[in-house]
Amino acid sequence: LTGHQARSAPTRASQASPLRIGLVTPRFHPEVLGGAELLARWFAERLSLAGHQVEVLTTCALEMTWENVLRPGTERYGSYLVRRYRADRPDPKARGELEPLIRLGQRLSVQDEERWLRSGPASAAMERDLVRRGGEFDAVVGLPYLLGTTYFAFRAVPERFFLLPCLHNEPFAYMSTTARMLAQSQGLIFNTEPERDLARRIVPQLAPSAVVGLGFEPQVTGDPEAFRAKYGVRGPFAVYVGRLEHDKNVPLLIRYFTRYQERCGGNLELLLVGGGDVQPPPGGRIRKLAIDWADRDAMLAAASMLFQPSLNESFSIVMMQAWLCGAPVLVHARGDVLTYHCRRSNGGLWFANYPEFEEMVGRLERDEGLRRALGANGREYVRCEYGWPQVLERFEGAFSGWGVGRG
Amino acid sequence: MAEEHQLPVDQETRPPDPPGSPIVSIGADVDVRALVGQIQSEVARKVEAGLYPPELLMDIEAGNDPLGAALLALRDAAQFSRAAPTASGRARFSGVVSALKRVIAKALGWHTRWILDQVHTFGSNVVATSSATAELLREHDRALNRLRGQMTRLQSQVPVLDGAAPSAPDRPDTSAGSGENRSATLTGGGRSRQVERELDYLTFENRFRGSLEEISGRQSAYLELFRIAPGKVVDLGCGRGEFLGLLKTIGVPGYGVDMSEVMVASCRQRGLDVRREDLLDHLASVPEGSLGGIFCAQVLEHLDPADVIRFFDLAWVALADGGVLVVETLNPRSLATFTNALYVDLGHLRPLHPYTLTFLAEGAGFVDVHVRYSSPVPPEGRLKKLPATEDAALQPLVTLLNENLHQIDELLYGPQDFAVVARR
Repeated sequence: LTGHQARSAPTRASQASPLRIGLVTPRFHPEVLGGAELLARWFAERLSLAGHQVEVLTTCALEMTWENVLRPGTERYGSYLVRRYRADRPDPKARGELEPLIRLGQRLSVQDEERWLRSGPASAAMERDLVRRGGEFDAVVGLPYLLGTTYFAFRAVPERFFLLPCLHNEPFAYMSTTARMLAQSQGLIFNTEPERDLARRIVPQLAPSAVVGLGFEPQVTGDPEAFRAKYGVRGPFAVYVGRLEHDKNVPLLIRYFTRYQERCGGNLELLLVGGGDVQPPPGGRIRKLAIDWADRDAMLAAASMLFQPSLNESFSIVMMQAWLCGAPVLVHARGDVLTYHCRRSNGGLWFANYPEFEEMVGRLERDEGLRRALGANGREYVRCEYGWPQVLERFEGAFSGWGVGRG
Repeated sequence: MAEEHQLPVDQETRPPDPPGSPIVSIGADVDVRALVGQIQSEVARKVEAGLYPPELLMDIEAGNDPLGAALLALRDAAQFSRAAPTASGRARFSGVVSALKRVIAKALGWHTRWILDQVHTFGSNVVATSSATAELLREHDRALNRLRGQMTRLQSQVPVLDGAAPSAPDRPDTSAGSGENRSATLTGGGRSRQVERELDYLTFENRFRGSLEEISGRQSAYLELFRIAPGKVVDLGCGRGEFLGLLKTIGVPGYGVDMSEVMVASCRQRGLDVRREDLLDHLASVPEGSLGGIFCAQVLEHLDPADVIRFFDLAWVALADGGVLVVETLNPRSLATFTNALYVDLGHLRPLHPYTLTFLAEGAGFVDVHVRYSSPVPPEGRLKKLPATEDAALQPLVTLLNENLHQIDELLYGPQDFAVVARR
């Protein structure tokens, strides 16, 4: 279901029959800012505002240690309900034993894969409740694909389970339990076409699927100058926003940017915004910066460009936010989803190696007109494709097409 | 580029574009595919000129090849650090904690060294084995490419051999050259080429295709793609040689190939290097990887489907790595094509869809394959919008009608040509 098809769909979001949706996600709290968690929260808000009855089923954990810090029970978040269950005690022994084997691409038995999924996060209490109360929902939507909460929800209510996988090309995507969800869920909701292509490479006979994406508010707030004053950023800067991890290809970005400084000089600075283990080298023009979440838009509006070197994204929220703030984007050529957005939007460039990175950063640094044009194209793309009305229409169109909620 | 045309977002009358097609129509002066292509060409030029140190060349190789990238990452990961960080992030007692860490590190040094040495040996062996395996794979890849080239050439000879075989008793004597044999067959392509021999194409083009200046103006939009071609550029079916003239202006060496004797003579009079030969025969005869670029405008619609498929295979073999292919033809997604250009030329066999040519180019092994639309119908030839009305009750109807008119207009009078642009 592409944007073109969605625009020609006969019904509008508000006219679709209301659905009773259970949204299963491992952590749910305004303080939790991971991609899948944001996606869950935004969908819960928007679907409930559109008239659907939404209940979020989640654990009492805030951190990925899966320690139960929040109170079990129900809590109303505006127009929807959040029901928390105690997370099971994690099993680091099973995790330590099995995860290296999965990462090495070894095929485990289904029992061992389930043992790994059960090692955390999972919630037996949530599963029991889903078995008991599953009939109260038209659809139980689980996300993301690689966590026990999602998989065991699928096992509990397969007849009404829909997967919103947020799939990455990583060893976990090739487990047989993942393949089972991709083939046997009642429906699959993908963020982008390349994500669906990846799923098809893993399971040629996919369950019925739709590409929906995520919605964004067209208006951004924030004063770039106030950001500069508050954080002491004076000159031009590029920014990376996300986890500072090997899996996000951050060491490569640091290596390339350091080399760029050595070869080309200039006063462009690189700000790394996010938590994680990767550290910038001392003495260069790269620094880690901790910012208030509320200052994010102002920072992106002040930035000369956003770097997104990750190869494993199913959507990339930060790219959309950068574009809405008018910043051009530079991505890695092997990030299929990211280059897909760049090609469709005319709003970003992609590099395959250091010399291309050097040429592109140099041009963007020198050419303000190019930066503006790319940023403007990106902004228009997000507004046309990923406004909430379009996204909800695609979401509702998919469920209507699958015959969900018709009694 | 002036002729660049991108599909507006609200165009629902056309089939949905394949994933990755641009959907944003603003900022038409920025085409990220072209810009990335331009930057890749610039990097290729600098590599050629020896402007990069060896470690950057290694990086280029790794970036273009996932296996190379994995090896580079493996090499990085095999650089184990022997010294554990002993600094403390605590505000209080940080000196004491750091000192304690140093003592522990020293006390356990013999043990960690013993383990690390084994890990290091293991890591080095993994890197060495992986590098050797990768080199072996690359060698197999090169051999496979060579075989593929030979196979394509052999396949291109099959129709010629078929024509020479004395299987049909009533077949005429085919002692003439291979191009003549091809034209004498009763395939669609053969018929089309026979038409081209009979028709005075020079007079025909002068009357219907547009003046030399007009065509040069249109084709100049492709010139930038060939500026740093890694070798000579051939214009297949060069006609009056407009593109060859353009190549001359930027100092890019090029030559043309055309079947029409009159066209060839006309080009030579203007000092252009043009050979009279069948374009497929020519492609099959040039050394592998010897061409820097192939330009072929308004020709493929004259060929039969089997020849169109073979064209892309032969072009891939003939081009050098990084060589550019531009194939321009009529745009069947605009219905105006079917009332004018398609039927004016007696040599046209069938229009070709951009998706089909993209598919064939990708199938032949080309990369960065994309479509450029060009030759928009002038505004005076397109449907006009109704003016806004002051009558508030009528305005929604006017808006609706204008939206519908826009959709019909796009379907009827969309860009008249498109080109598939690709890189080997």
